[in-house]
Amino acid sequence: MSQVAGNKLTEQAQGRGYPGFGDLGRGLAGALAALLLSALILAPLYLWLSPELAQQRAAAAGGTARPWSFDSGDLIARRGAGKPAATGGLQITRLEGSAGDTRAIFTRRVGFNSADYPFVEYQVSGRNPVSFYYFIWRTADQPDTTHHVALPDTGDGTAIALLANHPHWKGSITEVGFDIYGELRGDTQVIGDFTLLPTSSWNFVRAIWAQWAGLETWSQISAHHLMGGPYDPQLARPLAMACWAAAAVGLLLLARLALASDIRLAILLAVLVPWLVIDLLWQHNLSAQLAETRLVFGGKTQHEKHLAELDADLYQYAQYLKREVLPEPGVKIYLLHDSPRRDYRRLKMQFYLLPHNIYNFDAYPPRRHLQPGDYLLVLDAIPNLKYRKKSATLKWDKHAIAVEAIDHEGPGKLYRYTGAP
Amino acid sequence: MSPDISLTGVVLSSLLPWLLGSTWVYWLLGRSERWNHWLIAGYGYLVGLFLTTLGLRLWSLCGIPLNFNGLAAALAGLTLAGAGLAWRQPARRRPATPAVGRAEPLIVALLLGLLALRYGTILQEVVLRPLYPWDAWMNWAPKAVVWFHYRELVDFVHPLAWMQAPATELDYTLGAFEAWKYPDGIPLIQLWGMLGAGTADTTLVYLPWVFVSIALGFTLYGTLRLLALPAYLSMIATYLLLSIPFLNVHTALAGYADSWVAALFGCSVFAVIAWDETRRWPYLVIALVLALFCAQLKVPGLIMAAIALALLVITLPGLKRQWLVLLLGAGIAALVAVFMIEPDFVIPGMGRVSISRELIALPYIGQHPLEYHPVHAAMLTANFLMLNWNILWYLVLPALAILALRPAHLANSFIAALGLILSCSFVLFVYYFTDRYKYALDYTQVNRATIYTIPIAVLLLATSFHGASRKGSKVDTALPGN
Repeated sequence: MSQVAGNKLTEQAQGRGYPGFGDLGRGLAGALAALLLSALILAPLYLWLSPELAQQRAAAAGGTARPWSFDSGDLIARRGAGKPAATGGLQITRLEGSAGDTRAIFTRRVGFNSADYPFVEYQVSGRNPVSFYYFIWRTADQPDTTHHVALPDTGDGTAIALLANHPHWKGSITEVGFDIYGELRGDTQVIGDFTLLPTSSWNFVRAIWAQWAGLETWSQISAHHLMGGPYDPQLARPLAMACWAAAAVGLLLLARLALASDIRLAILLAVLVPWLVIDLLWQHNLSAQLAETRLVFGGKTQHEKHLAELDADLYQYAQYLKREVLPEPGVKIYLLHDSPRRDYRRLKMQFYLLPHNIYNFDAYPPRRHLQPGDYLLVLDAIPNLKYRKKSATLKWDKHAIAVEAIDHEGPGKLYRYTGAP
Repeated sequence: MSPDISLTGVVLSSLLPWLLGSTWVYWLLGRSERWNHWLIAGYGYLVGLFLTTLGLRLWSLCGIPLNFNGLAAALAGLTLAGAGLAWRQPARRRPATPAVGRAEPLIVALLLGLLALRYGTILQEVVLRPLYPWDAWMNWAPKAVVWFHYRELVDFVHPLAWMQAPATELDYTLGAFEAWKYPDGIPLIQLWGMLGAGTADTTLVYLPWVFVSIALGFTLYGTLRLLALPAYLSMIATYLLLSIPFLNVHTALAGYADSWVAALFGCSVFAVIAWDETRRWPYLVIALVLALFCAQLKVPGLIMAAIALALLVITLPGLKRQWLVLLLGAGIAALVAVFMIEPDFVIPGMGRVSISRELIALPYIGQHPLEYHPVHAAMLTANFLMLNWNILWYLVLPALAILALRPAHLANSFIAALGLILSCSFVLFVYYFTDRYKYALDYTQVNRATIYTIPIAVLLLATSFHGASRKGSKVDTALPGN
């Protein structure tokens, strides 16, 4: 196409309402002005109408609570270990527990009325995406029960968590502290001094922001739904952004009545900007997740990646069986596990054993269907299912089948069915 | 990177379907001036991948062990044949140069930059992380791994049939009780990647999960341009679709079938819309091919394919509005009659058909007791409060309301609106009236069904905004780009 024809088309486009720079500038200015005005109207309105904030104020009526700071270095380790950090605060040095459930708990005794302090301000530096922090407490009414609120991972800076919405943040609080769960990865994590805060609109807004900005790492539920914050957020991001956009569009329509100007592009941008706010937060989350993925899997072969997964023990066991114990794929294998169908370990073991031919539904051998030569893989311990070496049988309840013990290494035991006894 | 992976094979297995499909789609669409390169690239990938899976099936039917080089050569030959036909096609038409305003490139560049960042991030996730999501390694990948090992499409059977089969029988079953009968489309896509890579254990097998999202974006953009929407508006719609968090998750955590059903159903409906708009038969062919592929991906894909076909039927020439009303009336009457007659019979080789007010049982679909379940709270939370869809539904509902109140704007959004209503009705029916309601309450499934409706919802949003913001009610089809 010639340059002349191209210019003609562009001119044609301008004439048909396709935006030029002037249109874009005016549209953007209109949208931003409407969004600003919308925010200035909605934010105070929300804070004014918020029943939670009103309840906090009512509960604290007449209270003279001032922010109350605590030195994290004074916390006592109830589980795991920590020490005062050189820069102040508490450095976590050890989590305790079995694989997949390692944690540290630090608390101290206190005494105050929960209504005086609906918020806690906290700071955790050096936190990684697979370490999960909870603010925990006990009350005078339930001295043996520990309650918790998750502390969103918003980076190294300070953040505020809303405590007052929790049904058990009530009465007299006798003990507070932190529960850290997940992976430590060295001694980099430091809990800074924390502060209990009285009610205020600003604290309320900061708590909502922390819920929005908190990192949400991949889990098995990610492919089912994305919370975008805690399960019971104070204010859901999409709802807030939609209200913001709707009010801005409403203002633009009002302006159109008054000014009779073209507001189509402004409306479009007034909707696009709130979308972008959510999207940029989502991108931040994805980028943080990618940094974590790189740390765990980057620069590794596929085999090494499997070894870095949480179920590496299953992978290694399956590799061992495939390499050294089982015959060529094709033989029938009954995978037995003391769990309901669709249990993670039994299903993931089946996947790792592919291309072996596996039936994976029962805890005990399906006697009527077994054929000599079939394999039975007992994964983990199954109560009542015992191998009798003397009689070379697998026994459970009143049943027994003749088997040959093939392998007893790793988290499972492998047998071959030899025929009915 | 593992040394046993064939990178050449990975590149070839990624590019060949795209080239194959694009060539043939170009041959089809290049017959008139009503096409654009975005459509070639978008439809091309989906059609090419469908032909690839067809090739795998045919190869296996012939009893020859599956072989990447042989199949790749066959696909390359088909690509060359398509290219030759396109080259020899008389009076090949070039698409008109789309019109652009001066500021449009700025908007397009900004949004493209954001999408590049998003998909760069996602691509790295796909390449780095071993197969992660549950159903991916429970239901979909195992078939492909077994087929790759044996180099043939070994049968998967019901667990009870597996137990009863003699040891000499080479039948497999899966860890979920019903998964053995799931359609083979997804495992075939995985198998093709495995054959190319030369191994079943590599993350590179999941690159198509990124490509399908990109192809969906191309197709949406191309369709909107075909409908004479300006570039900036088409780009905004494409950005909205490709930035939707739940679609991103199903791309980054690759291995599920749902983003594929969304893409195939969406693009099939886009092709119906293009056919309705242009009356060029190649779009009809593409719509049919994509619906067929959609039906091979997942059980709900059958329903979505049926919806796409229903939309296609009502756009057939000669079907006047009165006929349409009559057809709709007949459909409703038939539905009422079925529920009154309550048929219950068995189709040999397919299964039981039983429809009553208490139960619905259909071949391939399964058996579901019918009962009303109030799942409003979960539905509202999933669609309006969770992060899944950004603020999409807050925008789509007013768009539908505007279309309902001002039918003049509906003219160019009719198919999209109907497609959205039908697909949403399916989702609502499943979770309000069948035993699947529990998967709405625990949010494990409802979003994976809702995702099917999203591409059409975004297209509807764009066309209705375009329609509502124009003075006339009919899109100006004389605009460049058509």
